[in-house]
Amino acid sequence: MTNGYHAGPRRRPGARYAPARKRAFGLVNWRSLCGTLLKHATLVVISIFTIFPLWWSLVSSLKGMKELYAAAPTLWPQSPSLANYKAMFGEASSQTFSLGQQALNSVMVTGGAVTLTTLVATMAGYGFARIPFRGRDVIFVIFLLSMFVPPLGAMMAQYELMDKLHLRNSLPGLILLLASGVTVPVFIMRQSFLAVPQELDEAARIDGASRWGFFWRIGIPMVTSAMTVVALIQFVYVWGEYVLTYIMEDSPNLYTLAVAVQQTFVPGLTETDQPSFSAYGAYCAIAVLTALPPIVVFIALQKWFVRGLAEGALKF
Amino acid sequence: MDGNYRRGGGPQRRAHRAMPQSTGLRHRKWWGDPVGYLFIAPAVLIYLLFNGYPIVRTILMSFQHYVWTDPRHVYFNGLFNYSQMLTDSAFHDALIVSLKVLGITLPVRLILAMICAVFISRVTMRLAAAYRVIVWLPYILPVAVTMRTWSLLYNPMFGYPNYVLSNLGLNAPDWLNDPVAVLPAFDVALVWEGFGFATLIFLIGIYNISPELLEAAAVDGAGAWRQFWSMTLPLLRPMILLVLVVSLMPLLQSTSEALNFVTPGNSTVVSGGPGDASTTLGLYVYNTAFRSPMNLGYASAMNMTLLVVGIVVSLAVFKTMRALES
Repeated sequence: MTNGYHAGPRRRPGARYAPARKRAFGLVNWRSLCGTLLKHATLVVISIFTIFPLWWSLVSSLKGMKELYAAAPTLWPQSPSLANYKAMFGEASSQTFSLGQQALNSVMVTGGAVTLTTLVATMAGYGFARIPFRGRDVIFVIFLLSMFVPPLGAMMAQYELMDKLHLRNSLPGLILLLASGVTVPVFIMRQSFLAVPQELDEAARIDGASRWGFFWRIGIPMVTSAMTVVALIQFVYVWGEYVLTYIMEDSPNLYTLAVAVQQTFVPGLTETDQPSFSAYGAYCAIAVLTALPPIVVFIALQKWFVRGLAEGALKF
Repeated sequence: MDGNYRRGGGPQRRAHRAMPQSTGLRHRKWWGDPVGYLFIAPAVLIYLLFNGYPIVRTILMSFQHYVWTDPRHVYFNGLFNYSQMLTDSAFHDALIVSLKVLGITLPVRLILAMICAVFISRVTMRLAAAYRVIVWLPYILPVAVTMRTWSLLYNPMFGYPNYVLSNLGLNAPDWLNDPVAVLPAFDVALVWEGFGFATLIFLIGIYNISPELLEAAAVDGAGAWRQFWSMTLPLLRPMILLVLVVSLMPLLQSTSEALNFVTPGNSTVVSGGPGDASTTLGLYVYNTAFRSPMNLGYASAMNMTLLVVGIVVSLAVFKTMRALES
């Protein structure tokens, strides 16, 4: 395991090496320079390719109708304005949708589903890892097999089920549905509980603690980095979940932001009324708003995520 | 207390018996500690209700004639739905589109990810962290955002790529409305979205290679290229396998990606590009189930087929990799 920088071969005294390369112009190791240049150039090009669409969205959301219709699209707005954003929350939002409500929906659904999944998966992880009970391994294997089902494989039956349970056109129902993908989280939490030394468990029980007490006071604090990994994965999944949300919810007021990005239809206002507003920019504005939380959360939790990976939460 | 010593055994056994929980009835039952069932119950129950039962129901549905708008005439019709797949030309078109998408996107993703991973691993730590974050960004964004952004970019009037192309004097097609150009456009967006995941997995694999192996190769005079080809690549085989197995089925189906890749501003358009030119299998299943015919039975049959194909392909990839290793 390195620190990320492959320093190359270590020079050992007395070993024989291939002859040193001839240095052109004496002072610079051209071969290594070319290598470094190639690496960085390639990575920079790929980074530009990766960031450009996001940059374009951001820039377009700050542009108005005039700049949009200009002959040459620019990479930076000449007169940046937040008119697109204001309009989306204000008068351009027609009676059929309310972006503020949709943002709130996103927050509620994601918060609820992520909390539920993390809690439930941690409990199950502890149960599968450290509590002996009959059929434990059999149940776990069956649980694992379900990972083979492709995503959205059962969406039709889920639609029918939600309808029969009267959970379909509602937010709590959506929270339950989106929280039900517990297979991978349970797997991860079980792995991390297996890494907790068994002596801790025995010691606590000798002192008279129950399983539940051990779980809350000692177990959970020991696996917080794995829980963060699980929470992060689930957050990213639920925040961006499109298909299930779209089929389950009928009215735009129950949509989440992820669906609103696609389904909002903004009538363009005339140029004389709102020169700084454009439908194109408005779509980009919603996209930027929807894209920000996962990025912010991910960068903030990066440290935990890398630690969780390194600790073997995802060991193969 | 004396009974503890009378029963014999070493200090560990006596200590174990001293625990209040170990001498009660709970310890002696052959099925272990039933509180375990309580711990796993919420997860198993919520999974069974919203995922397990629907899977079983889907299998059942695939053998039924079940149209949502006509719920009174639901009956079993055996393998009729499956045989309908063989004669449905729209299904065949969707299959071809999906295969084309898969055949281009997956290799490009893997190659791009491999290049990125190798280069990032040979760059200083701080820069490597920055590159890792950049590369990972498209993967964590909502699907609707990524596909909508690319749709807006491809807009012939306002988008940047067409502006650049026409300035260079090249042909700048209307990407989203041209049946020939829409698939490459879709592929680029898919590659952009997915290569970050593969890069991260490959990076984990590269970081796990012990430096001694590469030292030994360098001492024997192998250059960087040779090192990569003969040492790093074979050692990354499990990672390549993992990426293949995990991304194959979602790519083949591409439901949410295709749903979102439409001409912007027109949400009533049935997505799928001009004349179904970009209708992938997943999108076709979705349309069958939730748009015009709302034929849930047929859609379930297609999904079941995809499930079986997915399992078979995963096993095949797995076995091939194993065989290559020996």
